[in-house]
Amino acid sequence: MHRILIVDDEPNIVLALELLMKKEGYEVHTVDDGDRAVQAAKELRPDLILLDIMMPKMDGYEVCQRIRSDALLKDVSIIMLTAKGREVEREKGLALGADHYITKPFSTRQVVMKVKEILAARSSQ
Amino acid sequence: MNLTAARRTVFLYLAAGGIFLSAAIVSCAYLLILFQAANPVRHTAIYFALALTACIASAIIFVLFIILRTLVFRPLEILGREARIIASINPGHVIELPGNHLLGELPKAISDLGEAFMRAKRETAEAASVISSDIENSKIHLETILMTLREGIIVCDERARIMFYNAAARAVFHENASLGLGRSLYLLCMAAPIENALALLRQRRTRHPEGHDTENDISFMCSTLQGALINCRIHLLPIVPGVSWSFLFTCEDLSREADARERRENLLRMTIKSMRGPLTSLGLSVESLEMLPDLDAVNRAALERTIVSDARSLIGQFTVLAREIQERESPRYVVNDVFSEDLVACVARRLEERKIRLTMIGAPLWVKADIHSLLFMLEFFALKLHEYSGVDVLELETLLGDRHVYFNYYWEGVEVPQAEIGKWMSSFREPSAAHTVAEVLEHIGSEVWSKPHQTPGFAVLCFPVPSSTSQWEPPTPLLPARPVYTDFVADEDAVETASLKDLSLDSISFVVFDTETTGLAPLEGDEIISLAGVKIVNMGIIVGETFDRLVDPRRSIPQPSIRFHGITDAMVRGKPHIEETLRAFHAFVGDSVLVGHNAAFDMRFLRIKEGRAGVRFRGPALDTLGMSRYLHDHTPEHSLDAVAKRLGVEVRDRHTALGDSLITAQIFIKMLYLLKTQGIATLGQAMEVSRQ
Repeated sequence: MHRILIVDDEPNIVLALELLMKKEGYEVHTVDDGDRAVQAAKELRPDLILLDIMMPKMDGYEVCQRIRSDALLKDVSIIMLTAKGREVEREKGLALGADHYITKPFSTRQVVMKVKEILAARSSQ
Repeated sequence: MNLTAARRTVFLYLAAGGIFLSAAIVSCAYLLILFQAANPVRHTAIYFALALTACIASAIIFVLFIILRTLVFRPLEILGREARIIASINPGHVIELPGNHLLGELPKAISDLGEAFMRAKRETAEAASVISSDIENSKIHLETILMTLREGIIVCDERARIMFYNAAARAVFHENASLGLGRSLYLLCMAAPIENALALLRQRRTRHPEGHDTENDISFMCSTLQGALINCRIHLLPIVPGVSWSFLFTCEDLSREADARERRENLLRMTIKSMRGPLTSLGLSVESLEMLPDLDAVNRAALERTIVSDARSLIGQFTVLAREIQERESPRYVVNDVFSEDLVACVARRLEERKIRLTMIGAPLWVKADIHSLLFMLEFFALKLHEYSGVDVLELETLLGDRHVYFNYYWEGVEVPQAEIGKWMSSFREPSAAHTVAEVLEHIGSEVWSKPHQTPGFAVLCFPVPSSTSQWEPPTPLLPARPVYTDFVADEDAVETASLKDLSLDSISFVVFDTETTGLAPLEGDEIISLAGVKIVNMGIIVGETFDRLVDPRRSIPQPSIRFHGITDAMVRGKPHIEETLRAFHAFVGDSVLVGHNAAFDMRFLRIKEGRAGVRFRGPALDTLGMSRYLHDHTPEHSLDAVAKRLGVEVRDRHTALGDSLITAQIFIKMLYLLKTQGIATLGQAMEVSRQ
């Protein structure tokens, strides 16, 4: 069973995403800030992280860079979720190691499809 | 010899003459006595006769002396005094001589001289007052125009000292007492953005010394030292010898507009950001309810609560945003197209002072941004990289992306972690501007990140900036294409000239021109190799509008002539031919009257080529050579050099078409003033004069 970590400071979004991912049969964990996200990633070694960028204290970019700099975590897939919708931010996210980038608001189908796609690719490797 | 000394000499001669005469008579008497001693009776008679003769001679000499004194010496003495009065005190003094004299026409000649002197003096004074009142009038006109403009205008010298300002400028700076002639502009507004713009403009000028006009100015926002935001434009003025004006600073108070814009921008940004959350969760909740029909009551209730609260939040935010947007008009942005090479060169120069070497690599590209912000960011990142990594050698490459130009900094070392970049974001741009780096980046529409370079051991910092459409557009040609004029019938020439004849000289615009040629005989194959012209409007040279072209003569340039004009075959190779050049010159001249020194010579060359060029130089041409002959008929020296020297015109770049045109133009303006004092004020009269 794939393990997913959801990182967002918006409880409504966390709730909905959590329900959806559980329905798809994944093991779901949630945290609401950057520090805890890095901590949880190290402890849980998830297959995929849904990572919000705009968070107080440590932002998503930094979380992403830290995770990528940890040799044990370099294989984890990261999908960035952001309230900013500009091209340069997407580029920045990808440059710092994200695998995919989804702009809010997004549809559940979009997220679910992307998650499935990335996890399927990992399994086949 | 002065008058008294001369009189004394004459007196001595007369006295000596009398003594000699008396001595001669005495000697004769003695000789007679010796030879005729035999006849003593006649001795007495001889003595008497001799004595009488001596007396008569003396009387004659005395009378002669009196006559000379009364009719010559005395009048000469008086005349001397009178002449001195004329010379030093009153040129109009009337010479008064008592009674008769033997001086003939001399007193009258001196009187005439005095009158001529007086007239000359009066004319000089008039000419001077005409010139100064003209200058005064032009100045008043110019000032009146500038004063009526609603845009604030400040003219500064090289060191940003104020040389001129108008009433609107005073209003922009809210009657700030620091606004005054000779005071620094930087006592009024932040120096940094202005220095930025000036540095950039000067950099552009070094790249394109002859630059396009549009490249001479930059618009930007800048804050006054009183805290108001103003929209300004800096225009680098052409360099004119002897003129200290360096740049034009125009400004408009945008505080209220800017406040509104800033508020609206912030609101919009915040709303967009804060609406995404509720929108996302609303969408997710609705979809979840749809996809999970068998959800338990607790989770269902939670989702429903989410939907209600999201909907309320969205409606609230939408209402606020809608009100703000509908109430206010859209403001404008001050963004410019700018060449990355200029930006980097500017930043590099400033970094040099901090011993940081920034080298540009790759092809330069156009970007579109608020220049002040961009320059600030480019310098800021270099300084931060230096601070953080300790590197003092950086390379900056510009790369073209889809919609952005990437400024990539490369250095030897490791990348900067996002945590550090996050810290940079909260730095302030300037103490007074109260904007954080994050806000400046947001305003430019950019982000910044760092990653390792493909080359191990090196790192890169990416800073994308919106690309400009100038990338794909060819640069504006220096001169717009000119229409080709059709030929005119010769009769029209005379009619044209006749109607121009009564025009006042100071209302006409002139083009003073000169050519350099391969030789002196146009009919024997000599050709024009350089053609230049200078415009004169309102008796002043228009500095920015000169015509100066080299021409390919379709033949070789004879060695001996190169000595005069310095133009070689290599210099004219590939230049346009005379036909194209004449068409351009014709368009440049327009309806101005042509002027030249020995214009007939140059006109002959032009006339011969007119037909093939398909243009015709109509109307009269004035000749400064003829005008000089008329004005200074006392001398045979009328070469350009001689005339320039006589009229006090500095001679520079002699024997280049443009240089000679400029000298001739200055001479011509001086001559116009001189002609005016002699009552020559219309074009027709000037044409008469110039035929001398």
